[in-house]
Amino acid sequence: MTSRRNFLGFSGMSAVLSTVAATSAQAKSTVTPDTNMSNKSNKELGYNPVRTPNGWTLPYTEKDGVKEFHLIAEEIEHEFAPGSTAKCWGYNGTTPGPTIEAVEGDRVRILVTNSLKEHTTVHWHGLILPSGMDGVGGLSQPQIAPGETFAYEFELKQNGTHMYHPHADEMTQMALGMMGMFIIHPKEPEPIDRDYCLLTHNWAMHPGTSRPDPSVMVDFDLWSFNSKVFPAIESIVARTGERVRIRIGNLSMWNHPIHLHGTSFNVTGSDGGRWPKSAWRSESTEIVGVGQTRDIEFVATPGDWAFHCHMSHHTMNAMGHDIPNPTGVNMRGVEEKIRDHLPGFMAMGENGMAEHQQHIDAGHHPGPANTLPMMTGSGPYGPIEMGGMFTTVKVRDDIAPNDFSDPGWYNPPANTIAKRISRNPNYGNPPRKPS
Amino acid sequence: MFYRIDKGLDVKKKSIRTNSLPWVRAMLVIAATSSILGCASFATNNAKNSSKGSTTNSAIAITPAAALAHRVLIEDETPLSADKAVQIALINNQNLAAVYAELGFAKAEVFAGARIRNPLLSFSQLDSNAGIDQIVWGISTSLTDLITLRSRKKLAATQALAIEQKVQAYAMATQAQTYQHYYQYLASKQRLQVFEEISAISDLILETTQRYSDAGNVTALELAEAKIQASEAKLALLNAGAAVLVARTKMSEVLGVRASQNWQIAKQLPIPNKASLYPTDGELGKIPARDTLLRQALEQRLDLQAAQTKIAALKLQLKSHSLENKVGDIELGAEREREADGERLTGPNVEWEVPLFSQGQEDQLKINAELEIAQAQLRQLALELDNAVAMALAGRENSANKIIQYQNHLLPAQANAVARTQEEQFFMLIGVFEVLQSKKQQYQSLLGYVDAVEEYWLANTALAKAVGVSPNIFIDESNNGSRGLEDYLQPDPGTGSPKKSHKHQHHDMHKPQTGPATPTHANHNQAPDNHASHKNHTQSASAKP
Ligand SMILES: [Cu+2]
Repeated sequence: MTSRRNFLGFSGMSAVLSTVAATSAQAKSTVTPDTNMSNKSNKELGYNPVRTPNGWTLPYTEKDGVKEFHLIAEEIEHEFAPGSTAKCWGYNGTTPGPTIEAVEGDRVRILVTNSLKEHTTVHWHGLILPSGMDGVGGLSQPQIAPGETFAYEFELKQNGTHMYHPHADEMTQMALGMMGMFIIHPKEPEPIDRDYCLLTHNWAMHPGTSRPDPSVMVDFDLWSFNSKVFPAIESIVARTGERVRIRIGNLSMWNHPIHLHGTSFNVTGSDGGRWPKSAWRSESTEIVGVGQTRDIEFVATPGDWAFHCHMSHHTMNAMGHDIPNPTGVNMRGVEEKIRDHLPGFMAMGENGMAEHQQHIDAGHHPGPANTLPMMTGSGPYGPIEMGGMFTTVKVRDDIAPNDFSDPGWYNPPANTIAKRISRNPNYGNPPRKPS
Repeated sequence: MFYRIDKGLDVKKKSIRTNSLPWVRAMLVIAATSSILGCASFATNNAKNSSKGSTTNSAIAITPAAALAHRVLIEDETPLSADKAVQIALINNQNLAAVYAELGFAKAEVFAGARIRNPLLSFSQLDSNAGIDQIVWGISTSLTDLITLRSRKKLAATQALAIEQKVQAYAMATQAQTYQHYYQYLASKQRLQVFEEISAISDLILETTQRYSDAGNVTALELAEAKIQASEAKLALLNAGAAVLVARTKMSEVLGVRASQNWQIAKQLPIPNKASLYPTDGELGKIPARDTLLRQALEQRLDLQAAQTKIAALKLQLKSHSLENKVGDIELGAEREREADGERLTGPNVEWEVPLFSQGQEDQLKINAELEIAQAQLRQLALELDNAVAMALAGRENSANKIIQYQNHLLPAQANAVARTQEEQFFMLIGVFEVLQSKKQQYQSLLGYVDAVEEYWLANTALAKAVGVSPNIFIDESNNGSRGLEDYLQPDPGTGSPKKSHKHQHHDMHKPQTGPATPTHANHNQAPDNHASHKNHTQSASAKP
C-alpha cells in the first residue's frame, strides 16, 4: 500500500498518466484502488479522500492555480468477476472511470481525449457550470471526434456527490461502461472517518458473450457496484465506532433500493451536497433513482453486514427470466430417461433453487463460456447464494485508520449466533392462523 | 484396377463361348460377373487368386458362390452384404431366370438358321381319270443353304453373341438394381432408427410437460401442444416403418426371395471414406477421371456391345441376303416317279428360282431399315451413356459435398449446440424443454445425413451402371474413420461430463470463498468434429463445378 501510494504520489503523477495512455485500448481495469492520490496528509489536502472500492481516483496536476485532470475515453478489457470478462468502454483503462475528486471553489480543467472510434463528450452530471461546459454533444458543444482532445474548464461552485458520463451516443457509451464519480468536498472538512463511493450499473452481458449489448432496456444480466459483481465487489471496511459515509450514484436503467443490514443509517445528502442535519432521514433502505446520487451515513457496529440492492433479481448473476417454472415438478423417472439422450442432464428446482449453487460449485455442471452462475459466493457457514449488487460491510474493533484490507470473516462473540436446537420436523407447536 | 476388368472381360467372353448346359452357363455368368466386375468380397472369400483373372478360376469358383448364396438364404442369419445380395439375385432373380430361358429359345432359332435345312421328303399320289394313281416320291435339299452356309454360320454366331450380350446386360442391370435396392432398404432402416429417436424424445417432451402440468406450472395449451408433437412423431415413425417394409419388399423381389423370409442386411449404411469424399488430383477415391470413365464405358457396357453386335449381325445378314438373292433359291433333289402304267422313272431334279424379277429387295430394305434403327439406337445409347456418366458423377460429387457438410459442419455444430444448450440449462438460463428440443433438432438433422449418404451410394450405383461395371468397383473399403449414423445417435460422451472447474484465486473476498466455477474457454470447444484437418479440402471440393 505504502509503496503504491508513493508511486502515485505527486511527483510520479505524469508517469502514471503516460502509462495509462500507453496501455490505451487493451488496458486492464486492475488498477489498485487508492483513496489518496498524493502524499499530502488529509490535513494538507483539506479533506478526507473518498475511497472507490475496486476503482481508483484520478490524479491531477496543478497549473496556475487550476487542477488539471486528463480523461481518455477508450475501449477496455473489463472483468466483472473472475469468470466473466468483456470488451467495455471506459476512461483511463477502467470502468467506471477514475473518480474525480476536488474541493468546492477549485477551478478545474479536465482534458478529454477520445480514443474511441466514434465521437463522444463528457457531461458533468449535477454540476453548476457554464452552459458551454455541460457536455451535451450538439447542444452545448461540438462532439469530440476520435483522436481529438477537448478541454473543459470551470469553477466548482458546490459540493456533494456527482457523476460524469458521455452525452453523445449515450445509450451505447453508457451501456458499455462509460461513467464515473465526481466528488466535490466542502471547504470545511466534514466529520467523516471513511468515505466510500459506489456507482451502480446494469449490463446486458448475455450469457456466453463478451460484450455488453446496448440495445437492452430492461432485461439485464449483470448488476454492478463500480462495474463489479458479487463476489468480486470489495467489502466496505470500517473500525467499530467510525462514522462511515457511502455515496451511491445510479447511472443504470433501474432504480435501486439500497439496503444496509445491522444499522439504521441516515440519508444525509445527494447531488445537492450534504443536507442540513434537519433534512436527514433515518432509513434501512434508500432508493437511488436513475440519474440520482444518495449519501448514507452510519456509525459502524462490529460484524459482517450485507449491503445490497433489495431487488432480489439485482443480487443475481446471469439467469433466465423466462424459464419454465420447475418448482414443485417431480421429474423422477423422466429425468433418467432424458439422461439416456442427454448425459449429465439434471432436473433442478423441484424444491427451490438452493440446490443450484451446490451443483455448480461441485463443478459437475459447467455453464456457458464467460458466464457467472446466477448465485455464488461462500461464507463461513455455507453458500451465500448471491450475485450482482451485493457486498458486505465489515466492521471490526481493531482496524487501523488507513487500513482498507479485508479483515476476513467475522467471529461473533459466544451465544450471539443463531444455532440449531432441533432436527425434528415436528418440533414444537408453532401456532397457525385458525381457519 | 482396370487391368483387372480387362482380364475379366476375357474370362467372360470365354465363358460365353463355352457351349454348355444353360444352367452351367448361367452359373458362369454369375461367376464371371462377380469376379470380373470386381466383386471384392467374392474374390477374397473364395479365391484370392481369382483376381488374376484366369479362366479356370472362374469356373472353379462357381460352386462355392452358389453354395454360399443358398447357405446365406436358408440357414445363415448373417446380414447380407451388397455383394452377397448380388450373388443371390443373379441366381434367384426370376426375371433374370426368364431372360436366361429366352436365351435358350433364341439360340435354338439361331442354330436352326445356321444349319442346312433338312432334306425335304415328298410323296404325292395323283388320281388319273383312268383310275390309275400316279405316285411321286421326292427328296430335295436346299442348294442355296449349302452355298451360303459359311456366311450364315458367321451370322448365326454373331446373332447368338448379340443375344448373350443382351442377357449379360440384363444381369448387369440386375446387379445394379440389387445395389440400388440394397442401399434404399438400408437407408430406410436408418431413417426408421432416427424416427424412433425423434419419437422417443417427443414422448419425453410430453412426459415432462405432463409433470409440469401436474405441478400446476404449465397451461393446458402447452400440454396439448406437447401431445401434438408426440403424436406427430408417432405418425412419422409409422410412416418410416411402412417405408422399410416397402423397401424390403422391393429388394426381396430383386433377390428373388420372399420378403417374409428371414434374411437380413447390414445395420448401418456404409459411410464413404475420406479418399472417396475429398478429391485428390482430380480423382475421388477409386473414381477415375470422366474421360477414363467414358472410355471404360464404351468398352464395358454390354448393352452397348450388344447394340454394336446387332449392327454387325444386321450387316452380315444384309451381305448374306444379297448373296442368297444373287443365287436365287436352288432346290436340288432326286425324284422317283412311278407312272400309272407302272413304268418307273428316276432322275436328278433341280429347281432354281431365277432371281429375275425379284432379288429379295423388300427383305433387303427391311434389313437396311433395321440396320438404320440399330445404328440410331446405338447413337442414342452412346448419348445416354455420356449423360448418365456426367449425371452420376455430378450426383456423386454433390452428395459427397453434402456428406462433408454434414460431417464437418452441420453435425458437429448440432452436437455443439446441444452441449451449449445443456450448459445454459445447468445455469438455469433456459429450461428443460429447450434442451429436449435441441436434441430433437439434432436427430432431425440426422435424417438429412441419411439422405445424403443414400444419395451418395445411389449415385455410385448409377455411375457403375452407366460405366457398365459392378458398383463395388468404386467402393474404397479402406478404413475411413468417418462417423456413421450410429455414432451420431449415441449421446455425445463429452456432453455433461464433469469438467475441471477452474478455480480462480479470489482476491477480493476472503479465503473460505468459493469462486464461481468457471470453465476455461478451451473446455468449451469440445465438439466432436474432425473438420480441422479437412477444412481446405471441403472448400476445394465445393468449389468444383
Ligand atoms: Cu437494484
